[in-house]
Amino acid sequence: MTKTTEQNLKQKYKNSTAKKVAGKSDLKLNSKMYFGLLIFQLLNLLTLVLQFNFIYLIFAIFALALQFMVHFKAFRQAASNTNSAVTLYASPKILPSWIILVLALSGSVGIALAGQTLGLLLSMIHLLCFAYSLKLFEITSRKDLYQLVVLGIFVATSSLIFIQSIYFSIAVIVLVLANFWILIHYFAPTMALPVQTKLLAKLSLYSVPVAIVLFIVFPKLSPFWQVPNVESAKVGLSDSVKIGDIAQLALSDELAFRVSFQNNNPEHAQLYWRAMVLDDFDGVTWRQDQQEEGQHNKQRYGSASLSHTKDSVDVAIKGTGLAYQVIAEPSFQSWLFALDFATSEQGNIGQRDDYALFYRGIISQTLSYQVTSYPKAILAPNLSAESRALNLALSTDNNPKLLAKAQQLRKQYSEDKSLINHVLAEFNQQDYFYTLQPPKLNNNSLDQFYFDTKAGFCEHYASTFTYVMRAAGIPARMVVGYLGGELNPNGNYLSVYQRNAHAWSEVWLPESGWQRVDPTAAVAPERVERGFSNNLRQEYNHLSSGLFSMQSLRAMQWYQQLKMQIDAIDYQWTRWVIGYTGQKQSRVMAQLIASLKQGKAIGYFMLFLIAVALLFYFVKSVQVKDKPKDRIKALYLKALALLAQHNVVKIKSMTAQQFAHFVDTTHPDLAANFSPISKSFTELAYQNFEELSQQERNKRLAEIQASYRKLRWQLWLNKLSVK
Amino acid sequence: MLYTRKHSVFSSLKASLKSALNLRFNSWLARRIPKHSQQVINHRNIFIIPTRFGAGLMVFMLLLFLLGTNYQNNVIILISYLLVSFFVVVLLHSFFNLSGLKFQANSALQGFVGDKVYFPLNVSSKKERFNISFSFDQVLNDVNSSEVDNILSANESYNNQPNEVTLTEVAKGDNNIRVPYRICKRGEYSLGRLLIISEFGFGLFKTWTRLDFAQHVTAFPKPVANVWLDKEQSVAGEDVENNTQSYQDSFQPGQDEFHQLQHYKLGEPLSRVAWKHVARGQGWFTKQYQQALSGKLQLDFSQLPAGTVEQRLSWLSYAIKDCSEKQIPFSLKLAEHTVEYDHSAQHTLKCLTALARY
Repeated sequence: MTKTTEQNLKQKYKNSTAKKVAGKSDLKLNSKMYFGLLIFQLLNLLTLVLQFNFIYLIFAIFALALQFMVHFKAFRQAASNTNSAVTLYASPKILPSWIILVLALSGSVGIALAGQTLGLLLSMIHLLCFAYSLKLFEITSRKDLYQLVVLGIFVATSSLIFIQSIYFSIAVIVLVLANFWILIHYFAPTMALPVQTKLLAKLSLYSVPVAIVLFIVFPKLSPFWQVPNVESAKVGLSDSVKIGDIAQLALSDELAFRVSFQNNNPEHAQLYWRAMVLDDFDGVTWRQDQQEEGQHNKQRYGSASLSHTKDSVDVAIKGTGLAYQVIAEPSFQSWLFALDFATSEQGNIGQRDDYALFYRGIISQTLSYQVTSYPKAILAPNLSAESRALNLALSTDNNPKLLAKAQQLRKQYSEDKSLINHVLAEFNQQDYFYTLQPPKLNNNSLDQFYFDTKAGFCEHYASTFTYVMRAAGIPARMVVGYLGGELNPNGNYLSVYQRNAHAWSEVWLPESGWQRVDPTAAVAPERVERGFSNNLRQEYNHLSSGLFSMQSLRAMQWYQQLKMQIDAIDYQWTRWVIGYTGQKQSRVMAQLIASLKQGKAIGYFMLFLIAVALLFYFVKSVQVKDKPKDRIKALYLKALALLAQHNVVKIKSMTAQQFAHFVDTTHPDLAANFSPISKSFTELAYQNFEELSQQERNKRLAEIQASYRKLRWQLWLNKLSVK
Repeated sequence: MLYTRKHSVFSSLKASLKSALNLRFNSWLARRIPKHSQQVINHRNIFIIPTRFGAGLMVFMLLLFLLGTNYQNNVIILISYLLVSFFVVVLLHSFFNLSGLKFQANSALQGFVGDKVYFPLNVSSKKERFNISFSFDQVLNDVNSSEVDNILSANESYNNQPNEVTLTEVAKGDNNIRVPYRICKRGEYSLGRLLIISEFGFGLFKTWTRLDFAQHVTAFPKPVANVWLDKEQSVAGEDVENNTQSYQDSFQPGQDEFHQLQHYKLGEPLSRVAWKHVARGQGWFTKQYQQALSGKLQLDFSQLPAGTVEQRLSWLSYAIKDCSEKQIPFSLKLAEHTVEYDHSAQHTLKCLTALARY
């Protein structure tokens, strides 16, 4: 019994739902709407086009083209049958639902299979976009339309995971809001397109202030859970350097990071941005020491608190600090860039015992961090035996000539400093020269470079120098990072590009600790002092000019200026919007509150201004509602009050005409101005004033207002003359 | 069995609770939005709730916020804030789409039960508005609906027709609209509240109000042809006088005969004009017939064959409608109310109203 009732109930329910669906499923739209949907789908998908797999791209284009063709056909038919394009029609069933089902299933399976290569995030995005593409085939009810809009917004927004530059972001924000046009058009199809656009723009603009306030004030939260990260090829320096590697980077115009100093910018030659220290050399490749790698991992996951306290690294801080903010572009590595000796208070930044900073994670999007550096600090006043051994280790078999030379030098100079100076002087005085196109070395031989080719760039010199030092028994290691940076005067910040990549050496001397020695400076001092020399720049341009040369364009002054300006805007965006972290937020809020406390008067003044503006607006809106005839009446009453102040009082029993006559006889000087007011008032009260057109009425009103002002002026004059 | 009983108990409980809530709500509504023939809607009487889509979008905003927070992506967070703010702006916008609308209703509704009539309404606006739909919320509660269904079984087609009128665009100035109203119950009662809904904007909010225009519905009984009447009629044929006779026969025994001539009054049927006199040039007269006893056709409630009150009223309604179409003068006698012998549009209306009020 119960079963049957249950079944009945179920049936009933089914029936009712079926009815509902049947009732709802007759969504009919006009062709403008369908084209709008197609265009927005195209735009939303375009934001992600760089991330798409080729196969999906083809599918999406095919789906859009199919839809477009069908609707275009329908549009032409409608246009030929009736004279208007406003005819509504239900979305034609282009594909039967079982095909869509099969497509959906096979597509999902395909994406799941491709997930291995795509990575989790990209496969999710593909799944989302795939659903978005398919949804277009099934717009049977209003609900589907809503879903399509929301999906579109989601697709457009998710593109921001990959790119966050200001122009792209603004384009995406505009696109997200523009997606609502579909809904406006659905609810008001009769509205003209410009009106719809205007309405949407108006509503969007109104919503900007609140959004900005929310953005500034609403607390920034830390991530709730781990999310799949953007996976991409590593950019920039790599943690194992073979001789010749940096040459590739030197051709790259890509931005590495940007820095703004709190006070003055240091000199170009001081800007050695340490990224990482390579101390393990096998004769061919410089690497980070494996042991330290382990330590690094431990630091990263274990004793995080140790790693960023100053006690853990062996350093004696001297001199004043130099505070600056670095905004690093995504490199998909962990290395951070800072001047020596750098400290950072940020929890997500760690420090290795070779003084390099690193980020606890992968820098997959723009990262901003605050650093304080002490350029005069002594690094490692005491070198541990372990570290000493590591930094003296040599693989002797590869460069025997260099080893012999170093040992000979050691005999010649007992003092470390004079030995170093001798090597540098040799670089400077002999015919070594700096070039980005060094001749190829066999088996990356340093011997060949030092004794034969004598042409190379920073890496060659640093590598050779470090090798010689080690061979001579001075602890030395190679440091890679960036040198210099280009000042953007518009934003007062430094841009460091990949082409600024540099390598130098560090030697450990008793008393003074680790000392930076840049052999490149000995070879090409202008490289260090000013960045690229003219010769090098030409060489650089020659190398980088591809199919069509940008050389002429680059040379143009206005182009440079424009580029600087655009870059400055992008920098501010990166700094204040993308880099608006919780830390920064609390600082900004503290400042805001402090300034509010300090300038209470200003706050009150602002409040007062707002109140006045509101009052003005209110009064104006009330006034606009007034009909002019009421205004004439008001003006008449005002004139009466004014006259009463000057002892010309209208007795209540008097009619307006009588009073006008009275004024005329007693104060003939006032009559000229008062009579038009009175006349208009009597006309309003006793004659049909409605017949006048709006324009004439306004004209009349202006006249009366003018005479009122004159009357007031005259009364003033009278008063003064009486006195 | 137990299950069903439980279910029925539960459902009845739910229904009673619902009706109690409804009652409370209606009384509150009556205090909040008093009835008046002219109404302006503003912040006092507009209600706004998010639609399901609106609620969905809110969830979506939260989702975007989570996405932005998890990726520490400020631009995505900014977009989620922008959407929140947009949501609020749209709330205001949908309010202003309705606010300030002026309504003027002056005419009461009349019609037979089961008819679909149109309630004329003047809507004036100072600006353009979009996508506003008007409907009477005729909640047919279960008890009533079965009755109604019985009555309406013949015209099932009404159910499929939309019971609302939607204006895609309300132009500046005066607009006249006609809102469909289905008459379900005999009697004279107040029209009830007109439901005015708009989802314009983006479908995020349902902006609505219920206005009572203090108008009445006079619902005449549904005209039902009686079997005996039909029979008589078929015998009597189409002839007007015979028709009268048929009614006479049905209401009371006796013959009707020519009574007198009266001066023609404007509006009297031409079929009654004594054309012979006109032809002779003696002027316009109408022939007056009278029954043998009372002399006039009287539709008497008490004389009707046995049936329920509603049935009998329906027969009377049919008779009145029929007489009015065939222009037969009559008088109506109900239990406590009598409508004088007459014959005009007003008279018919008076009689039908009397039936409605019975």
